[in-house]
Amino acid sequence: MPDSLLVQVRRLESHDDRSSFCSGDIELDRFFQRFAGQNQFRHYVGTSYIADCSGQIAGFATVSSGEITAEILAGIVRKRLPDYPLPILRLARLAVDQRFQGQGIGKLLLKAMLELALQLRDQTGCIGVLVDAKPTAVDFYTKLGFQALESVSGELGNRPEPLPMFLPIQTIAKALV
Amino acid sequence: MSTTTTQISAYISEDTKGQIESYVKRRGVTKAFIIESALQHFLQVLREIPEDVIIPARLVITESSMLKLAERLESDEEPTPALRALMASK
Repeated sequence: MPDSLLVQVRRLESHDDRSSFCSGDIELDRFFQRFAGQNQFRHYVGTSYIADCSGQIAGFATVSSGEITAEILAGIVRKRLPDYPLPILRLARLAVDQRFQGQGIGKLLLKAMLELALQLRDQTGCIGVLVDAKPTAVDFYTKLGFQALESVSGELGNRPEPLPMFLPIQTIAKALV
Repeated sequence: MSTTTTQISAYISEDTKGQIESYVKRRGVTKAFIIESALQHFLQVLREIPEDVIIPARLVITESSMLKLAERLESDEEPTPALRALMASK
């Protein structure tokens, strides 16, 4: 990221103007402009964090706490895991405004969300981060160590269909050392 | 909400059933109250937000995928160079 670009990652506030955000992805822009506020302030079903660059929204990431479980668990697996759904942080959407693309904003947001997962681990429990990766982002997340999960239900309803990918929390913690 | 009641029958996971029963014990409310409230919340959200923008709270994965996940959680997996670089960046 250029040194001159001062960016603060913070929670979306209701007064933030989302109307001019344009990442070039129609679905992500529609979500952020029309529904990110309702999700967060009215229904509490997801929280968006923004990259604030001198009052302009350079990018956003929407997360939600969730859980992973298996449809059927063999005894051998059941013995190795707690007998309840595993708590995760789900990174459902991430986009960067076209004016700020190629300047490290996406990585800054992702890093902030991984740090948020570490906070969740300490506060409420979190075994890792689940991303709903667009097909074009799968290689990027693979390089970071995310691995695909084979899902039965609970996928994000976006098109093109995203791939759920997972990174364990202890691997994230080790990356800080 | 109508005061006329009716009965529904549904198959739900043992996990969810356990969570409902635990909540009933802790809060002293009825199962019917929880189920009706939860359904009303869910339906209200669906009326106001399209289904495709809602983030599902639970991801159900296959047994083989869960086995791989369990192995990863138990292993002392090293971060990739890309992850180290990301977390070291300012």
